[in-house]
Amino acid sequence: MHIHKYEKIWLTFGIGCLVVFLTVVGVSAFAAGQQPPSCLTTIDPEKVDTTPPFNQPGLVKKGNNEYELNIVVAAFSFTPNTIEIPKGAKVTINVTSKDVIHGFQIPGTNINMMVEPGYVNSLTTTFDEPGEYTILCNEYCGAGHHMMTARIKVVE
Amino acid sequence: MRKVTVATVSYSYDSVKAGKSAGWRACLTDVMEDEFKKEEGDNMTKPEWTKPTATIRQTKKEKEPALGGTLASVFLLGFFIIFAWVSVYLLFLHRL
Repeated sequence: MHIHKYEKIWLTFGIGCLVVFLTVVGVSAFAAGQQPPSCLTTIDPEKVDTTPPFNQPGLVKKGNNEYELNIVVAAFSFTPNTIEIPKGAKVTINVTSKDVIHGFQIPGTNINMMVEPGYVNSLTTTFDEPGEYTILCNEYCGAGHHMMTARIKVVE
Repeated sequence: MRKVTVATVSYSYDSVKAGKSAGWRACLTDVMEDEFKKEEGDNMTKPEWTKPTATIRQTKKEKEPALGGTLASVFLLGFFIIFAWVSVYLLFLHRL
């Protein structure tokens, strides 16, 4: 089969790009551990208020500078609504919904999860920069969706 | 071999007819021409055009299509995709 010289060039270019992209994504995912938010844990959405750890939502210290932040999401609020986190803390955020699908996003960071009723979504991050961060719902959930926010304060 | 003699010069009828001795043929006299015509009319079958039955082998090389513009387009799109991909990935790494 005859292949034009230019076709060989762009085939090589395209396949090379594909190999580079897949290698970068593969190394990031499996060697550097950059995984999407987990949603492997299930929960009964009607019993969220009585199921640990969501029966006592909030920040829980788990180790030296390691925390767990459990947040219950329901129309149209995050519970708790204001959280203080020490700077440099490694925080595992667990969220679940009591009613419909919500979003959990902190703009300007990589924190962005879909919160589904019946599932616990988890994500681990480190807050290195002090300041105030806003949590937003980015999935339309009803009439009060635009008012559905919460605050995280990262303090020294 | 049939030969026609003109003065002291003798040469092949067939070669003259085939044009191989065109130079000589140009020198033939009208008498000689008449001689040829007479012989052709009397003795020779008239040539007929027959359609060739055998496939003529194509020896001419096929012209390659011009793909310079396509190559430029592919690279423009490719570099845009690479730029966008790398930008988003660097943004992701920066926010870790």
